[in-house]
Amino acid sequence: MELKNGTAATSKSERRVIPIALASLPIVLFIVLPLTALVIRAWSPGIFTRLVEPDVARAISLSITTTLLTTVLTVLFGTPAALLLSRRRFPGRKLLDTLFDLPVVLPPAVAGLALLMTFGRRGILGPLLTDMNTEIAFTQTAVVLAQLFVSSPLYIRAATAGFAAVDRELEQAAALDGASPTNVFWKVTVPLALPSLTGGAVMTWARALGEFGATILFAGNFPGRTQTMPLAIYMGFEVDFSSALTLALLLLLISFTVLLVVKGLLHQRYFSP
Amino acid sequence: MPFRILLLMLCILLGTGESGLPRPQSREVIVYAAASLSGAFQEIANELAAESQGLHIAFNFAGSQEIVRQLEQGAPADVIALASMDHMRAAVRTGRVDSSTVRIFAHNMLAVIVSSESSRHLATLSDLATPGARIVLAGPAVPAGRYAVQFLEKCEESGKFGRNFKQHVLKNVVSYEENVRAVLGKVELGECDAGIVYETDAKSADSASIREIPIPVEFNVTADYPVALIGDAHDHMSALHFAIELRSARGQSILQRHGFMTVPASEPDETAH
Repeated sequence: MELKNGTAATSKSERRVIPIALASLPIVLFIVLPLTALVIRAWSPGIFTRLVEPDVARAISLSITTTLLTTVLTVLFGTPAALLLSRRRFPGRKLLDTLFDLPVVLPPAVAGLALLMTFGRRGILGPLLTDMNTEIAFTQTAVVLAQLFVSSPLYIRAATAGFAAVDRELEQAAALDGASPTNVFWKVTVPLALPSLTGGAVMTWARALGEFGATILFAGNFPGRTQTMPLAIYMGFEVDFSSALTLALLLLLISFTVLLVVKGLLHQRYFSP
Repeated sequence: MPFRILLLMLCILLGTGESGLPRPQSREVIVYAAASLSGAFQEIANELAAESQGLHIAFNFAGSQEIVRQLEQGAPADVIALASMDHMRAAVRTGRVDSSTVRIFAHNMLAVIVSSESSRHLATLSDLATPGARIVLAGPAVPAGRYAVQFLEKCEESGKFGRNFKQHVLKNVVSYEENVRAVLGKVELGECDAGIVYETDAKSADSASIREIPIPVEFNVTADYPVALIGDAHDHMSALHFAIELRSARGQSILQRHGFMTVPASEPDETAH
């Protein structure tokens, strides 16, 4: 976009960019350097053949399936909660809002203990679960529950903000034109809030993928059953450092690819002509 | 402006530290020790600190395999005390251990503990193979985990526990923990029916929450605990002081009170090759 007296304006803004760019340099380097270092140290020509090793394959598939399930469940159950928090005023709303922030702030190990105290054999729900002949701790269900607990608040917060930002007048206009509440939701509210919803879902998925502390306490560490990628990397350190490096790089590449794809789809939907 | 420069220079001068001001006599020894040693070592450190002015002993308790990994990555340590000679040999291979200083200072034996809250009422060693029993062990890279597997193999070889005893027991394992204290924790919490830990752990446990199933001597495994000095320790004298204390009469009696088996004065020193 060019101004009438364009020359003066553009050079002034250019001069402003350079100090800002310099000031940003430390943190950009701080994020980029360790990731680059990991790639350099861990990369080897045969790295993709490691994907088929049983322990590695199991850890990867377990991570992918549990995190996908966690994300789906989060969106399913979190969306109504976000709608409630963003639209309705009710006694205790602030408290509920704060409670939802807690799992993000709590150390994951504390989250794991809390889950154990609830769903474990000796937990509050223990006797009930035993009566139903169900055991939750040390199972894949526990892996998903641990991920849900620590990562779903990220989606709920983003979705709440997204819904709150939707112009109520647009919804009211649609209703006036004869749209049912369901149609208003799906055709007006969701599309307008979609960037926040998608961003929140991606954050949930990412947090779930890296979940370690709550998982190891509540679900335990068992290769193939509950040993997700982060657990495999941590335990792998102790057996074989180079193996841990490889797993770490694989996790990095998988995360990067998924994020790139999702962001690409998002941009395509909203920014292409 | 000049005053500010003066202030800055003063801060720099004081900050560099080597300004010739006399320092109080304080010697710090950093000890990396196997998790099972935490109780006994804290007590030994208290005794030493009480009688040696200025001596401060800092501990890092972790699984022995974790300690070897940290050494490999350059972590600052002055003394290491591990739960197996295999791990000490691995530590020596990192190049940071002064191999001439390796000495065994205690022994430990395994213990099978059962949760008091368990509904399974496991009473004998063979009960460990009962289908559905929830057993927790230390991971395969942890000394306690390796000893546990050796113990199960000894049981199976004896023929007294039925065919495939080891396999049946391993089938009951729900989690492989990163250190032996975590195994103890899960059984104490009542979330697992049984676990294999050290005698010292069983002894230190809350007697209301666990029971011990005695292991006949012929099946049990003896764990050797070696101590060694780190080559690049900055205070060799203090580090040596701590290491020597472990084999002294006082140190040995403290270890014994915590359930360790002492080392006879005449026992030949095991040096790592």
